[in-house]
Amino acid sequence: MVFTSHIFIYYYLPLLLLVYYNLPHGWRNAFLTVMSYVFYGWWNPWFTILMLATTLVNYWCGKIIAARGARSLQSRAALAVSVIASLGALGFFKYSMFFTDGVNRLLALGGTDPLPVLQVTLPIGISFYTFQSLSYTVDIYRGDAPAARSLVDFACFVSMFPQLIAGPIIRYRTVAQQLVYREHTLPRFSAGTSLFILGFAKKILLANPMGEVADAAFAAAAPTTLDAWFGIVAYAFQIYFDFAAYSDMAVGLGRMLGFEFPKNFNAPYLADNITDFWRRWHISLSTFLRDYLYIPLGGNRLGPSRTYVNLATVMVLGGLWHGANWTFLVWGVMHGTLLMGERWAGKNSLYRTLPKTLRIGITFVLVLIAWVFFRAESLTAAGDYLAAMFALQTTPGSSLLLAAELYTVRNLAVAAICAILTIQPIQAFDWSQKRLNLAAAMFVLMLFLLALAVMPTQAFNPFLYFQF
Amino acid sequence: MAFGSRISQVTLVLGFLAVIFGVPAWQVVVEMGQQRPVQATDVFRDAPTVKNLRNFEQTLEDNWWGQDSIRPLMQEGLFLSLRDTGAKALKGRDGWMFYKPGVQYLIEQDRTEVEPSDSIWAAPPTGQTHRDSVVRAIVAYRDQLRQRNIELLVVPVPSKASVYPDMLTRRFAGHSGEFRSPTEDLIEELRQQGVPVVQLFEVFRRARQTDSVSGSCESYYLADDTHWTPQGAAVAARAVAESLHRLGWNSQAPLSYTTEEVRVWRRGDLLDMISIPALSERCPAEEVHCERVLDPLVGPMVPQPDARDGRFKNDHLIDTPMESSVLLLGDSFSRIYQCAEPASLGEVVKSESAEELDTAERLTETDGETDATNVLTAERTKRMLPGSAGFPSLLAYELKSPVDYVVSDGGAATDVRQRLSVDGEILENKSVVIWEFAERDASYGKDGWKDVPLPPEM
Repeated sequence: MVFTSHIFIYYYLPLLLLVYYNLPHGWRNAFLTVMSYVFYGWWNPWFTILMLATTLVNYWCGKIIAARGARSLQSRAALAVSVIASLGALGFFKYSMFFTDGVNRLLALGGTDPLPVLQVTLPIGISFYTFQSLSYTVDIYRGDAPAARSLVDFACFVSMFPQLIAGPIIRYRTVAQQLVYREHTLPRFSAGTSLFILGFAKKILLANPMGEVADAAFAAAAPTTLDAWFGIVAYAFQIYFDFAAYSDMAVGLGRMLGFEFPKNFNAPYLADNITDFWRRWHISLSTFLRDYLYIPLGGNRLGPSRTYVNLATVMVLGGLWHGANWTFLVWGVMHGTLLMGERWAGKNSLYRTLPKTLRIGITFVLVLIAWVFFRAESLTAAGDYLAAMFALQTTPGSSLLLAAELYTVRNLAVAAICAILTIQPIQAFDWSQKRLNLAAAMFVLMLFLLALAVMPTQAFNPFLYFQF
Repeated sequence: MAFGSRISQVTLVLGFLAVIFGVPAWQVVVEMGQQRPVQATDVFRDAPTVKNLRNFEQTLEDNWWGQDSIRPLMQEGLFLSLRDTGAKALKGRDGWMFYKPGVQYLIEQDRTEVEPSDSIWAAPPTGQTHRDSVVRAIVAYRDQLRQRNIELLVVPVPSKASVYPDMLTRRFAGHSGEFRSPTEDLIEELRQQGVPVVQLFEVFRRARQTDSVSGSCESYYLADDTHWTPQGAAVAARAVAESLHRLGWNSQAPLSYTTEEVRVWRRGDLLDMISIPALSERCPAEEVHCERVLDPLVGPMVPQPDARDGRFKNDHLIDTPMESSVLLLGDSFSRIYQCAEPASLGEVVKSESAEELDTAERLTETDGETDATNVLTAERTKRMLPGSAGFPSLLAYELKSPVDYVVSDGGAATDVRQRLSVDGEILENKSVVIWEFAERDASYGKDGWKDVPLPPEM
């Protein structure tokens, strides 16, 4: 089910709120779990079996770790089972086709017939809930969190529908206490409503139109330099307003249900270097990778060389986490290389002496270039697109028609609004926590009505991060 | 968490809840008022399979009470405020409209085909592109026809943007002749495979150049429609006839057709597709000058009212011993101005000559009472106007011999051949098949480019 769909807004959400708020507190987690399975199974009911299996395995592993003490042999075995089961499922469903494709390429080099490819359907959201459930056993093993009070609480944590499909990635220790007790108050509910509506409007009114521009530019055989730059800027807006919208809606829905989830974006395109960008972009993923991968690998404690290796490892794996494609790998390598470069240059580098606005501009351009790999369907397509951006290829006549599709009044107006909103240091998450006056409440409601009215005029357009 | 005054919180929450509860509640009231079962409960009727869930969701969305009122209103609002013409059309210059998929075909790269598979084991990708599959399907069809001593002539019809790129974007203003459609590469490939193809792109380029020199303002495509004007169809018919003569494939005894001019006023199919009333009101019906082709024996060559949809055998062929040796397979480019058009193909709002229109109007005004049969006949007559003035009749006029035709709107890639495959009679005594298709079908052809067998020999 998609948040920006008729069935979610007018049927699922009212039913959920109606029943949830009329249940005794003790039943709410169980009801939330059932409704989350309905939400998840709406794509494909069979997917729920995998999520249930992941939940059961990690719950029992957590129980063993909690019972036997962190350093016992059984605990280590339980942790190993948890890691292997979670990452094994992720590896099979997400990377088996990528692996077979790689083998076939090697076989082709040797002139051997390719292997048939096992068609594996990627269960939606698997990357997110796998990481979440893994964080549970690791946190217990490290002594950072207590074991779940019951299977229902843990199943509620793993399947919690607001952030199940596309994050933010919630660690168990963040919500452990809230699963036991949480407050349902009018201020929290209204803050959630406000953030949900802002996310909803961002997705419908900004991300979707920008997505059409990006799709057109990337589908073109040979866009002009101007069209290619406009296309990648549109994609940068699309992915930000799409993903941040999902996070806003998730946090908003969480608040409506009494939860408080962490902030996932902080004006990322105002970053003045790549390190800063990763402090602002998909914060829940970067902190997850930092705490569960970078620091266990040694972080920056084992000398400069090892720090570079650790940075590169984290970014390459972070890239591959987004998808089983060479393009994501290259995207991760690019970011890893830039992070290493910044660390090598240090805090007194020449770059740091540049005016901040210029540094923001340079960082944005570097992020845009990396987005090309993130968006393109293949490395060849990414290469062609970069060639168009830097005027390294001739434009066939027919591609000049792209102007008619790109530079419409609507697209230019939406791009301008995106640009203005992007450079605001206060983003929706922060704004929704500030004092709300009546005029602002009315504005938010009007925005909701407008987005609802525009929704049926758009083709089906799921969130970008669903594919990861 | 400090979050505003209580009154603003209450306003926001109540407003939000009123919307999300109000819409489904009113839906239930509407359905119960109409004594229909409550649609939302349908989810419990069928097994929760992926297909059933999608159908349920789609039905719920399509049938809600605001669907027919809010959506057009918003589309109109988006057009008036942001000039947004929706997913199917692009706004060009001087009021011209273009079919978006037709433009996208020209811009996009030739993509690799993905073979659908029911098996969990997929064969490795073949790397075949859309264009490869078009060439393969056409060559295979040519080979099948040759086994029956029938020749194939292929006629890809340029989209409006291929002929008028300058009316879509200023980038081509003054040098539209430099535009080259990817279909021209497809034509080259087909010719290399020995398939005769009529290169209409060059024909229209020359026609426009000649017009610009002579100062003529002839238009070969309709401004707010995806199709050509009768003049465009005539230019194409002339080019096809010349190709047939050149190839020596037209050997029938000449008939002396005549023509009469008929004016009709049409609203384009693009206006229908984008469904924005404000835009339709701003675009007056376009005056179209047609040349209706008349057979010396039976007059206009229009099909009988009881002819099966999409398959027409010209009237005069039935009444005379003369049989057509030419069969035209085509799409809506072959149907427009020729025979009954579905509503999606635009609308004739007025016809000059037309006793048919008078008849149609008379039929609907029988003593103030509405006779269902009369209304249907009247509607059908209107949709046929002017009739016998489309590509098939114009081709017959140029060839001086009759042309049989099978048309399938948007289905020239595969559907039209599938229709032919179940009717062996129509291929009898044919020596030439002309296969007309809109160029965008190379990528967006309905049902793809399947291999289709010929009908069994009679």
